[in-house]
Amino acid sequence: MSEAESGGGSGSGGGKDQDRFLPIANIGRIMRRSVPENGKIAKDAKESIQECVSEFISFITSEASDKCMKERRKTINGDDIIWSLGTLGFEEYVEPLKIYLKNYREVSFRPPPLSSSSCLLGIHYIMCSTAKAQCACLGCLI
Amino acid sequence: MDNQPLPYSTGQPPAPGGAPVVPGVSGSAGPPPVPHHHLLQQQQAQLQAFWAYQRQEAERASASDFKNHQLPLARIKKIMKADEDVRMISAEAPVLFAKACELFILELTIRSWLHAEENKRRTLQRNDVAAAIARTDVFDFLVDIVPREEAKEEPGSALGFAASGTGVVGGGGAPGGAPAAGMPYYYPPMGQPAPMMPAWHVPAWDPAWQQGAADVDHSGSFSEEGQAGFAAGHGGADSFPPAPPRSE
Repeated sequence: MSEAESGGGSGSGGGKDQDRFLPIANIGRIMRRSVPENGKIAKDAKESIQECVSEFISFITSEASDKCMKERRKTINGDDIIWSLGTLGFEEYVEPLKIYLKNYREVSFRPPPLSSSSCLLGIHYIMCSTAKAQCACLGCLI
Repeated sequence: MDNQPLPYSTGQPPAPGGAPVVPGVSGSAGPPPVPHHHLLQQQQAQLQAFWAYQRQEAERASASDFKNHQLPLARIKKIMKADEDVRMISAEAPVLFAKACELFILELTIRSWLHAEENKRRTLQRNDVAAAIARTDVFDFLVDIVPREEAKEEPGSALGFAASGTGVVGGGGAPGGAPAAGMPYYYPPMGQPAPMMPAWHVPAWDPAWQQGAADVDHSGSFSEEGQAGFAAGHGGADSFPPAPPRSE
């Protein structure tokens, strides 16, 4: 499932700073999991990590993008990201993410069996010719 | 301030007198010298436990996990596309990044928390994040994002840099002189076991020194700057076990 969107500027109106970062609430929630129950997290620590995450995404994306350009591919895929992580020193991330990607791909690209079976939304899609993990049968034109 | 251990400490009972006691010394009065590299081993193993847990979690990822992410995919894509060279992004890329960022946040937070613990704080602060970045080679790209100020290590720090304040060097070597492994010399404050631990905590952790393991020579794994930092900082560390058994 490839998205045909071009790159370039972010195009967000108003120059909103927050578009550069992931939401701090989500980040705080993840941080909490690394800290004991009685631990506290200062707001500036959350903000620092918020900035770090965006930098992390840019850092890895840049490497993945270079790889794609060298190989004359237009689309950055999951393997490029995993490769970049390994190259840039995040070796520990490679194994869990490989497994995660494999599971994701199995879910996304599992072809519909011809016998009765349902898509993830629990809607039978034997009539639907498209193999989409999130069944678009509600909206697809059969 | 109560003397609670790390979330992934051994959970040993407090030593008599309440002074921080090196784990493995059950009940004896004075702390015997414990090689620093055994602590490093412990922390390394804890991080390994964290990664093993993450691998397990990845295995258990189900279809619903791929629909409900911890982080918004659209925002991730936006950040990716801020790079002009980026053309097309497959649908799986932001999904993968959501997971990768989760791991990143978890790891950076754990390492930052270690620093807070060393300074006997229960609150994770910006300077803890800066310290974690400084100590971990793989986080070098973040050095300018969270600049390290020339702050003294706080008094009573478990690293024993207490009075001198020379332990921390801003632009120079990392204060812990962390080797590539990224973990500092560290004596977890011993107290009653923490009631709640992160899911990846290995409860049955049995550190090597408790088994009287022989000294493992890890001296090669410490960088030059680390040694200098330690040599400088050990002046006032009376209450802590002495310096590692190597030339200073």
